[in-house]
Amino acid sequence: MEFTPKILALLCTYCTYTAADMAGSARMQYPANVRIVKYLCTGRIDVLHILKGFEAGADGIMVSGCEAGTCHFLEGNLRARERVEFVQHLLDECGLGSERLVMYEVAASDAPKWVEAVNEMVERINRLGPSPLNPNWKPGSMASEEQELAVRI
Amino acid sequence: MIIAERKPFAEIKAAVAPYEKILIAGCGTCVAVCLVGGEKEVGLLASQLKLAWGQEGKHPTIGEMTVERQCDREFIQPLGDAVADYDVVISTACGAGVQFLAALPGMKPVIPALNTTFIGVNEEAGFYTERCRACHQCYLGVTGGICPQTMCPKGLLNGPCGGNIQGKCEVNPDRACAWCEIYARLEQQGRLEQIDTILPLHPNGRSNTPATVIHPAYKRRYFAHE
Amino acid sequence: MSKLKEALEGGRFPIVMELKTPKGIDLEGMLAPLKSLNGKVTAFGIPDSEHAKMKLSALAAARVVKEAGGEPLVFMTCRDRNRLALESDLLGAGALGLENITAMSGDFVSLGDHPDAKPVYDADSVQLLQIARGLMAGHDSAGLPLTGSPQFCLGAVLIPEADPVAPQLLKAKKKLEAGVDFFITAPVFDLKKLSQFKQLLGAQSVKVLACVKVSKASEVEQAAQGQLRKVYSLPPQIIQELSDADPEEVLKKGAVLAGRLLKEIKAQNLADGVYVKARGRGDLMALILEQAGV
Repeated sequence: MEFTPKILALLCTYCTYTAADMAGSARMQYPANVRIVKYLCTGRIDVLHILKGFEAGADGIMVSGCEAGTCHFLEGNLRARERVEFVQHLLDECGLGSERLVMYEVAASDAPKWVEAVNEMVERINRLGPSPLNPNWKPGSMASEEQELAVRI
Repeated sequence: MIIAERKPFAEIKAAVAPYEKILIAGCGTCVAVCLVGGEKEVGLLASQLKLAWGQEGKHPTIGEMTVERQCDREFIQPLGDAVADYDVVISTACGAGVQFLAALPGMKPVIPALNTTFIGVNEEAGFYTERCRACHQCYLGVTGGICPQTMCPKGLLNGPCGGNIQGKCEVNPDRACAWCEIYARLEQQGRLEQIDTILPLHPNGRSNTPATVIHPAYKRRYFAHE
Repeated sequence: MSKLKEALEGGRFPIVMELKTPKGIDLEGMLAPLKSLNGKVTAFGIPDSEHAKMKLSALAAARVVKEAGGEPLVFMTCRDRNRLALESDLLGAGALGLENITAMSGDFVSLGDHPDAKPVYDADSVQLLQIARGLMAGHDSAGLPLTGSPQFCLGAVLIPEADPVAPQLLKAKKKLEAGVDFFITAPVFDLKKLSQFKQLLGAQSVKVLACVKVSKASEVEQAAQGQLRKVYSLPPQIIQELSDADPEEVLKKGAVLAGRLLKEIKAQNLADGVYVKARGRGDLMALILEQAGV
């Protein structure tokens, strides 16, 4: 079987989540392997949330908030940007690689941009392959999927 | 307070590679303030280790325990009991705390997670600057509150060297010359006479390591054998 | 008695030429200017790992110069030695007949070629002058008596273009109090600024050697771009005068200029003598003396 990327999306309520919602209402088609975690603001995202996400087995994590200057809480997205860059440094240090974490900026009305972001992220993770925390993953093997689940927690 | 920096991850990981059960001991005082050794940072390090070893298919036990500070026996005693379940301890305290912890009876090997850097201040979150070199002879009353031993890289006591350019230090052109600043502040306070007299050679003998301070009120207690 | 001291006290406008100490033990290059110039200059300056770039010991080089017939002026920085070594080296200088010592803080280690070296600065230049005076009076800095005291002619550094100038003047005052015999300025290219600084320094009896320097091509270029980071500056008309595509020509023009400045400083009585930095090259030194009409 094919590798299906498991991607966590940490979104803010006022911008990206709204756009994602709109994309849904407009029946825009995009890959279904993104699991959304809804924050009030990306500024609430703790560095540990992202690291724990990778520990739990995410193949990629995308953070998406308001465009610079339009954060509902004024500076939340700027804090998120600083934290995402710090986690990228931590990920490079421990060998997981900073390429698996990406931050996007999607305005509330920009449903197409949300779709584009998801597509881009899925393509990136397909290219990078499954998270190195799942070394037993091999294509076409049921046993490996069980092992994958066992290793995950 | 004491400022430190987190060691490169690779160095910490290599130091604890032979072990299966690791306790990360945090410190909630100076190193928590400078964002490298507190409870949060203990969690970050634990997570990085799990992510790193997960890639190698390894899953050692990693415990996390942060105490008030590691330079006081009353706070590290509980760590002495907690290590029974572990093979090694990573301490995110400064060099002083790491040593105090390492000397506890029954303690397992202790690996430092930080490089201790200096005594300094919290200018702003994430931005710390050195202010004091613990030279045992404080000149701050004479120099208008600016330390000539620390803020001047050469530690000069009698005025600037000839290397400052337009009041900027020869060593770091982004910094003001400490002695030009001392002069300016004393001038502003109308106290220039403080730096009129030649200061004598610094008594370095007091700073020979390892130094000890016994509080005068406790002389009887600690010299009871006399 | 130090020939330099005699010349200064006798108002004879001494000229001191700086030699280049080697990074190694081959002293031929350093000594070359001596043969042609000795007799025309009063003394030869010997730097102490200048700019924190490790070079052969100034004391050793000075002794060699003395044995070759030259009068040495030894620089001693506070950067590399604690008070024990400073006193020990000063006694050594005394025993080797090296009387002219210039005390300075010394460029910081990070500026040179051994940036990880431990900077010492156990004494500053003022305290070093006091230490030297103490040795002359027969005791070390711990107050212990000496068997035989050295005699020195002590120098220190002045920065005419210091800005702010007040802290520098305070330091100069302390050097006077500590017993300095003469000052050497940083390189001077603008005689008006030198004159102004002299006014600020005020009436004092200690002699001043003004320094003239031959700049190299890269320094002139940096000055032209406003990038020259030194404690002295090159005025625009001088940058123009010195600029040339050929680095050798820049040096020659620099020597001509230095000679002219020397002449002017003497004529206008802006200093009591001159300290010449000519990259340790005898040919440039000769050119300077020729231009100065010496």
